[in-house]
Amino acid sequence: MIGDYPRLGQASADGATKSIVLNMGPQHPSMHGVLHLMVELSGETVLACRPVIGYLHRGIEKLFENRTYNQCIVLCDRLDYISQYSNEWAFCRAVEKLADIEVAKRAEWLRTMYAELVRITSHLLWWSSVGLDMGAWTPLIYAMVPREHLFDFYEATTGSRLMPNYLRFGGVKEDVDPAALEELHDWLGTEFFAHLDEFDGLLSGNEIFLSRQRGLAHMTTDQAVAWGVTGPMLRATGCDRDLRKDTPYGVYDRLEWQTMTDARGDALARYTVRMREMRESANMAMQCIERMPAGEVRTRLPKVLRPPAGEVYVRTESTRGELGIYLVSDGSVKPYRLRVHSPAFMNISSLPRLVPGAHINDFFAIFGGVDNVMAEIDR
Amino acid sequence: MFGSGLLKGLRITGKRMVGPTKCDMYPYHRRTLPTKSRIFLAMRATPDGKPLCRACLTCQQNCPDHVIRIERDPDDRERAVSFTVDSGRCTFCGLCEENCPYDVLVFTQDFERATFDRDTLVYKLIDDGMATGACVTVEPTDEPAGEADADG
Amino acid sequence: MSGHQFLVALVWVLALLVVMALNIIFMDWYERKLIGHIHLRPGPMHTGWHGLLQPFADMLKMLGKEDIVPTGADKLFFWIGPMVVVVPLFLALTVLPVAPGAALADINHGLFFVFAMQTIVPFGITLIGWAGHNKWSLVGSLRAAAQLITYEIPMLIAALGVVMLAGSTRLTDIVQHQTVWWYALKLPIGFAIFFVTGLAEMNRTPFDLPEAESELVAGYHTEYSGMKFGFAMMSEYNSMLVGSWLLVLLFLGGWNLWPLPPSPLWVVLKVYLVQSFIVWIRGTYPRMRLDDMMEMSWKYLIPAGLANLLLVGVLGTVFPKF
Repeated sequence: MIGDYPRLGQASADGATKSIVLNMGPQHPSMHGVLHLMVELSGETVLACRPVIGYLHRGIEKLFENRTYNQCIVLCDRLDYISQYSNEWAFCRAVEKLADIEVAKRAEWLRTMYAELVRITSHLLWWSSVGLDMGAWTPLIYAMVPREHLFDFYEATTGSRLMPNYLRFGGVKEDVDPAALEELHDWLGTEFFAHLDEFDGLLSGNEIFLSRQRGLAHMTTDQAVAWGVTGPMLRATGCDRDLRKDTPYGVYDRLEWQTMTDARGDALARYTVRMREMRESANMAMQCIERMPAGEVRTRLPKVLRPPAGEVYVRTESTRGELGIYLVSDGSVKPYRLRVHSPAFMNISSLPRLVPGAHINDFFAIFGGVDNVMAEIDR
Repeated sequence: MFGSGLLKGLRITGKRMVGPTKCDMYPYHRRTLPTKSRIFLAMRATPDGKPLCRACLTCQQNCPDHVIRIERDPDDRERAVSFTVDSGRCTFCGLCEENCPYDVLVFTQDFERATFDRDTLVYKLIDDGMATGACVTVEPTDEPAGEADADG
Repeated sequence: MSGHQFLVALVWVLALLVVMALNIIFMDWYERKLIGHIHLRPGPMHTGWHGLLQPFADMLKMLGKEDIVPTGADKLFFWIGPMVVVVPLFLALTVLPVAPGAALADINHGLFFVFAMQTIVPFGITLIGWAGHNKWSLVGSLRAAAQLITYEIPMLIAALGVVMLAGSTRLTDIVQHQTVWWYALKLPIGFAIFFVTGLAEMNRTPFDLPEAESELVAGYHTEYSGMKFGFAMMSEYNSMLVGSWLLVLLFLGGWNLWPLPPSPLWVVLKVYLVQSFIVWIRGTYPRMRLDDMMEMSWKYLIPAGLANLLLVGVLGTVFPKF
């Protein structure tokens, strides 16, 4: 069956040798958040894997019910803390759809630009963790240089490096200084692409790296769709499915860009898709800056928003895949129920299915391709 | 050619090895943070220690985490007797500063505030009706403070 | 042995201990500075001028840590494991000369003695891994044992090419045959093989699986704390010294630097250049997978080494002065 995978202790029950169960515990010098992985090893081969999640559960979905809509945006940052603007945007779109709020024109361009910038930030962190998993410490430091520059931009324009609380219903909190935008545009066009070329030279062409990633953990499109995998992992199987193209929101239908796919379906394909996505995101952000119209960035709304009773489900292409927000409102100032369909949760459920039979070194190569953020998985 | 990727990697790190470092040598070199940066919540006060707060309690109501505690003067509706900020609970979202109708709250960039004692994270901006040392002094102007901001 | 000889040997032993200690101290600082610069940061700066006192700070820190022995650990092996790793490498230092005849014991089979000492190291690592009573260290030590044993063979084959050219296994003689043309130029394949296998023997990136930090918590020395952990670090720097010194003697001309006069200073310079290159490689490459490593050794390095021997034999017969 397409979804079946070996459970812990199942393989060794039939075999002759005893296998050991290793706890790659929540405390681990590897950069993947508090994830408890129980791995059954026979020698150096992984027989089964069981991820144990919940170490970062903070009850965010319940916290949403105790805060007014405006205060909820603060919580959204903390869902997938590496791609903050995507989460805020998903929530704001849900409320705007429910309460039929129109978004200011310039704000749509700003939101798109920030979402693409945060895609770059997130993929840069992913790239450094891929290097660390492979045993190269240099990519970590090298990826932090453009990331710091983007963080400085976030801090200068929105007030905070990591938790900006920038989007509001109907627009964004405040306008961005045109000089900062221009400086970012120049930097993206020149230095950022130079950084990406350096990263490609350091890791993407490295024979050792390629030998470790090529042909690893092959996933077909049918398998990916059956397991609920979305985002770059799905596009790495050759499936051209991107919510920004299929159901455009923001200004994605007005920008010139393409989805990045790679038909190979192995770990190297997932790596390549994300590296190409970084370049495409930089191009998109530059286009947003060039073509952004002048104007208002906020819509006049009552101080405390009271959307009409009803429910809505809105999907966004977050950096990890399809982020869905299901919002139920009962007409009061606080949401009645907010359920987050997080892409990383679906992606990590593919891990026990991809891993059996792999070498233990490959385990981390596969895991790096999943690109999980525990905050989104555990909420 | 096999090995070209390896040599390219060596060339990239080799150039960095002999090139300049990109390090901010704190504490010998302190950066100035942008003015929008939300680091430390402070309040504007006049030079003679009178806080500009009008005790409308908007910031207290807007704060998602119950960080701000204001005690109003029972005789004077527009005077706050004490204004306490629990910066240990604060998420630095900025909703208080954004929604203050009189533009009294301001975020400064004073980030060197690490302490050994958790109790010092709770600090007062108004103590006994007077502005504390944590406030930011501004010159008093003749016009009254701006009207309420209509956007949510 | 007469009293005079005994005294000379004792002085030599003390000198070698000092050399070993100085190497560890210097390489600890040097590696951190070099890796720091590759990482766009200056490395240690505050302990002493530009961090020169950092190794002493590390040593003091390690001495001050509590020596924890896990409950289920095999106490004897836990205690002697590090010694089995460090002592053979120190013994290997005794036959490595720094000038013609200037070694503690410049024996006729110096080269084989060094290889024999290097072969004892996997025993020690397996002992350490087993004694830790920890699945992580067990996996790490088994990997280390497999890796080290596998890579000794191509190393030996590459060194045999040098022995064929020099006609002797005495290290002084080998260097004396390299007064103008180093063996790295005459045997480039052998040189490359010896360097790669030497990296594997030192447990350095890209062959540092046994202490793969991001996968196994700390590899085979997970359970070690305090000075025993210091021993593990010492053994790594020691093996780097022995490996690069051997490389310099066998392939890079030792104390010869034609047209300049030969001097022990050139040995020191070359050894540290080789070690800098090893650190540079550490800062650049990811880790190789275990089965890729084994495959590389069995399928590529050993045949290449044998082809190298064949080439040396043919060239040596055709050109007698080769």
